[in-house]
Order: sequence, then C-alpha cells, then structure tokens
Amino acid sequence: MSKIKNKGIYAVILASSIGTLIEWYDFYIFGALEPIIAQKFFPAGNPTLATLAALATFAAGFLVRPFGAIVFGRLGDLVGRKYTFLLTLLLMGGATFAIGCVPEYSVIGMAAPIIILLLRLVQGLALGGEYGGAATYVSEHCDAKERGFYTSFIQTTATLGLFLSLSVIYLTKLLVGAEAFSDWGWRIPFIISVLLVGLSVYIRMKMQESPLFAKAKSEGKTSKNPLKESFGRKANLKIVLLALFGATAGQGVVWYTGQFYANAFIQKTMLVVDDQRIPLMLFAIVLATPFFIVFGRLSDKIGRKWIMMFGILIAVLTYRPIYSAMLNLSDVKSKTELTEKTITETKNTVSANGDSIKINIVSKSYSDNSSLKEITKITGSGAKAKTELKKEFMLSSSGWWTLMFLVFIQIFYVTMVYGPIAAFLVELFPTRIRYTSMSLPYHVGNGIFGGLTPFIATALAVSGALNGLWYPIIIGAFTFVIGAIFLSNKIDEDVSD
Amino acid sequence: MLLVHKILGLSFVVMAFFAEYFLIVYILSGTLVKDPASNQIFAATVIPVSIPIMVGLALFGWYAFKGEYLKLRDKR
Repeated sequence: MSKIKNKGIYAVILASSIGTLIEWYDFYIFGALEPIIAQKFFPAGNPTLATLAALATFAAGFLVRPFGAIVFGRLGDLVGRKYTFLLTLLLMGGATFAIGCVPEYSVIGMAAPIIILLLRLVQGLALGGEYGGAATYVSEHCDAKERGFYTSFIQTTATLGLFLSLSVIYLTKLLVGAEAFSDWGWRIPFIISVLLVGLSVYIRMKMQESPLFAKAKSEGKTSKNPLKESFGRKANLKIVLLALFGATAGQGVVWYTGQFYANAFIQKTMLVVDDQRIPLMLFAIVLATPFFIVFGRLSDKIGRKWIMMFGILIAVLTYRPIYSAMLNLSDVKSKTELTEKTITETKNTVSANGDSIKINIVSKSYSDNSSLKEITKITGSGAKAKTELKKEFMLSSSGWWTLMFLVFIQIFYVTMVYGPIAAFLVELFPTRIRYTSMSLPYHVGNGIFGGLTPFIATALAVSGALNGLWYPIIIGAFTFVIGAIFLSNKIDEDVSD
Repeated sequence: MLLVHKILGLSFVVMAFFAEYFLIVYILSGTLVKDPASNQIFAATVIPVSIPIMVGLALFGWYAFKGEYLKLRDKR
C-alpha cells in the first residue's frame, strides 16, 4: 500500500470532496426549507397530505439511506468506485434541481406532494451511496501513514454542506427579500444545485478508477456477490456489527446532537430569532471545521479508536451542563425586566377572507441587554376568534458569543468522533467488499441512530427541556462501552487485501 | 477479559429484546409522538427498521458471549 504514490492525491480529494459536499448541500436545503415546502406542497388541514409530509421527513431522512448504502455499495464493489459515485451525484443533483421546478399544490394538486416525496426518496437513496464511495476512493489512493489525514477532508463535507446550504438560503433571502423568498425565491437554492453538480461531474469524469479496485478487477479478485460476502458470512458480519455498535451509532448521535438538535433547540426551545441563530451556527461551524483535519491527522499518529471514544465520552458527560447553560441564556425568569422600556403596539388589519386580525406586540427588555417580543395574533371575533402566540428572543451581545461558544464545543466533539471514522471504517474491510461493508454501518449509525436524534429528543423534551438529551447520552454511553472494550486501536496499514 | 465479554454479550442479547419490546409498546401507545399522522408514519418506518438492528444487537451479543471478538483482536 505504501507504494501507492501520493502524487495527485489532492486532485482525488478535491474530486471526491466537492461531490460529497454538494450531495450534503442538496440534502440539507430540503430540511432547512421544510416549513416553506410544507406550506407550498403539503398545506395544513388535509390528513393525506400530512401523512405524505411526515413520510417525506421520516422515510427519506433515515429509512432510505441504508438502502442506498446497500444498492450503491454493491454496485461500487461490482462495477467500480468511480462510476458509482458519479451516478449517486447525478441522481442527487437531478432530484434537487427537479424539486426546485415542481409546480405547487395549488397548481397541479395531489401530484405535487407525491412528486416531492419521490424526489426526496431519490435524494436519500443517493446520499446512502455517496459517502462510502468517496471515503473508499480517497483511502485507496493514499499512503497508509496519512490515511486519516487525507480522508478527513471527506469528513469536513457534511459540516460544510450544512454551512453552504444555510449560507445560500440566508444570502438568497437577503437578495430577494423575505416575501419574495417565501413566494418563489426558495426555488433558487435548489436550482443553483445543477451548476454545482455539473462542475463536480466534470471534475469526477476526469478521474481514474481507484488503483486498488482496478488491480483487484484486472486480477479477477473482485467479489461476485458483495452483499452475501458482506452480511451473509459470519467473519465479516461480526465486523459490520462491531463497526455499528462500537463506533457509528455513537458517532451519529454526537453529530446530530451537535449540529441539528443544537440548532432546533436554539430555534424552538430558546426561541432565538433567525437573524441571530443562523449567523451563530455558521460561525461555530467555520471555527470547528479545521479540527476534522486535526483529528484525522492525529489519528494517523496515535490510532483512531481513543480519539473517537474520548469524543463520545466527553459529549455524554457534558451535554447536560452545556444545554443547561444554553437554556439559562434565554430564561427570562432569571433576568431583571426593565419595565420602563417595555413597548406595546397594536395593529388592526383584515384577512383576504374578510376576518378581522388584531396583532398585539409586547417588547420586553432585560438588564443584560436581551429582549423578548411576544406577538399575539387574534383572527376573527367573539367565540370563533383564533389566538396565536409567538415569542421571539433576542440575545445580548455577550449572550450571543456565549451561545456560539457552547455550539462550537458541541461541533468540536463532532470533529473528534467524525474526523477519523472514514479511515477507521476503510481499514476494517477488504477491497473486494469495502464499499458495501462500510456503507451500511455508516448509514445505519448516522441515518437511523443519528437521524432519529432530533425527533426522539424533541419528543422526550415535552416532559422537560433537557430530557431530550437522554437519547444521545444513552446511545453515546452504550457505544463508548462497546468501543472501549471491543475495538482495537491498531491501525491496519495494508488495505490492499 | 473473556468474562467481561461474556457478561456484556449476554446483557446485549437481553437488552435487544427488551429495547424492541418497549419501543413497539411506546410507539403503538402513541407516547413518543402525539400527532396521529406522524405517529403512524413513525411506527410504520421505525418498527421495521429497528427489528433488524435489534436482531443485529442480539447477534453481536451472542458473538461477544462466545468470545469471537477476543479472537478477532488477537488476529489483528
């Protein structure tokens, strides 16, 4: 393996990383624009549409990804890495572009949500096939002593994809204005994807097949049935199970807690306004991202296992104090209200169907320079009047920085756990079945254990704001015990078998 | 070390069955998700997905109980 030269490795990393980054971008914009998509394609009040909307969220978010891992993993071990991850990129890009072009429910009726659901399923399937291909492709090109370092660039793409999606949405909103954005501007982030995919396909087309796979193929050593060899044979199945329960399950929950649950917690529990929340998330991501490479590099020196295990352990031990500190920042009961600064406004308008609308806005200021806006909207009058209450919390400057630091710490944990994992997974399996064998535990760990985090944590949080953390804490502790006892810290330098 | 593997292995087998049982009970009783449509979809997706995972956990526990992972570590 050490004979494989590192010449051109950065071109290989660039080709793999850009494609994976775009796939993550495509996948995240749907999630970030879900409230608008729900309004355009799944209007409230129709039970069938509510079912389709929930299906688009749950099924495509986590159910389909392991299937993608199986389908494309198998293809990658049979046909080759290069063509398989070209195919996943085209599928993802095509589906994303198409979402941006689908007419709304008000134009084509029931066909609109069904098309959206199908396209979302294609996205989930493609994502399931992409990561294993990119990680395998890079690792099969690079020197054994720097595998952790080189594959860590792939690891940055998931976080940078979130950064890119939030940035494009934020900038588009700024450019076209909030009203035009929710009317038609939301389509722009989807449509832009076609340019990014075109560029990535062009770069990937120029790349050669992985040298290890090409060699195995020329010698007739590739697998005839990768699925059977990966999961039907005890010798390999027990490694797949170890990778899942001893690494990827815990890694998935740490990742989803640090990036997605933190974001949802700031938005839904702390009620922080979007103008503060989005830049805060972007800033924390930018600061933490280089550590993926730091920990990837470090794993080449001291081994993969203990970096990942320490990341999981420290996350499990500190999540509750971190979230408690986050909650305190927006807890108005513990703040002193400056009653002389309270502003009350009332607006009266009429809705399109003639109902009177009364909007009461109460802006409260606190001694630490934070503020709370309570917006009460009363539609109609008398017994049929409908009241909606919305609260928006505005952090003080110091509060913003403290919260950003608390999110940064969580993403820092993600970099410890996620930075070395591609090299770790690649080293567990032989070339002939590597794509299939590593893709499934990765996507079950991330798609299912990790993907469920926001849903389960939010559901558990109903009984107490911090109770949602029990899910990542329990799964993380479970993975730590298995990983610490059952995994080896030895780096397998020769992956050419 | 073999004793630790055996104890943990056995606990994973037991844990797999109990976890699946409670997951099904919780989901079907609607405790986890309140909204009816979400609840149905959640159940329809989580239950079939969680069954193979829990079978996998039980299998993992069984291999650990038999000391297979100690042999694997020695080999590596």
